[in-house]
Amino acid sequence: MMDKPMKEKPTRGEMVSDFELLLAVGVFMIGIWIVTFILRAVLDPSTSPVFIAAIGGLGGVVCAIVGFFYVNLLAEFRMRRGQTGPTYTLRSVSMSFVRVFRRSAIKRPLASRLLAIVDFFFSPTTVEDIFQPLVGDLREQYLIALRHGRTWKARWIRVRLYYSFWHAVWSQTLGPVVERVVAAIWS
Amino acid sequence: MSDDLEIPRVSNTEALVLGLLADGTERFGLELVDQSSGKLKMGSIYTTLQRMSNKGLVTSRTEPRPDPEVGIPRRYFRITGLGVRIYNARLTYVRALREEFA
Repeated sequence: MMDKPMKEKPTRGEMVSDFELLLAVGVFMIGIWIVTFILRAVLDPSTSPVFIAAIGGLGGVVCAIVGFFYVNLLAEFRMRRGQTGPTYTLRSVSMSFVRVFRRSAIKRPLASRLLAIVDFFFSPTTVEDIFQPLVGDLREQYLIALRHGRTWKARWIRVRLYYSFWHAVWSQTLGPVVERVVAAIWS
Repeated sequence: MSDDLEIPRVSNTEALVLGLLADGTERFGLELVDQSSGKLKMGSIYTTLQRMSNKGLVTSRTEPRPDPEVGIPRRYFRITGLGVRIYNARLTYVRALREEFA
């Protein structure tokens, strides 16, 4: 049985450069937030402090999100080059959170929101006779395609479902009227 | 000249659906679209079938999914006696027209 090759321990130089980079990114983000906050307060003193705080907070959240994705992207490139270090650790932790959120996300069935919309606007008979069978048929095809691992076919069926759905909505609402008007004008 | 006999008008799309259902088997919307080789569209098939159902040309029933499956029940359509007669009458009419203009 062959031993696995040992992973090389990252050098101190790499670790320091990672820390420096993270520090630079963090300071940059916080700096933007502070400068924006101060500029708003100085340039427009009449503005409500609550409003300024809200804008500053929103900017901070946006910076944090951008920083999060930036660090992830950076770590991805570094991992491809086989590097390790604190960036790698940070990315592992952050990705584990992402995975937990993804795993716990409950997906709604395909076109369920559309059905809820038409359920509000159309009569129950129309929904049962037209929209539900249409969605039901294509949803089944979609699930069959996914079960066989045909992702692109599933995507195409989804597009087909949305197109057919809105076509049906059109033919139940303005479609016949427009056709009649156009026919009258044409004749 | 007035005519007391009310015969439902059948469009070309409705005639096509009647033709697909003419053998008496039950079919659902997607099946009809697939068998029409592109002449029927998924967005309009159920609207057409609802209109035909109102005219009495087809009848439908809802079949629930088999036990482990969940989801929207499938709706099957079958041609009625009136539908068969109208389809045959239309077929005769179209053939006569073809002979006339051949």
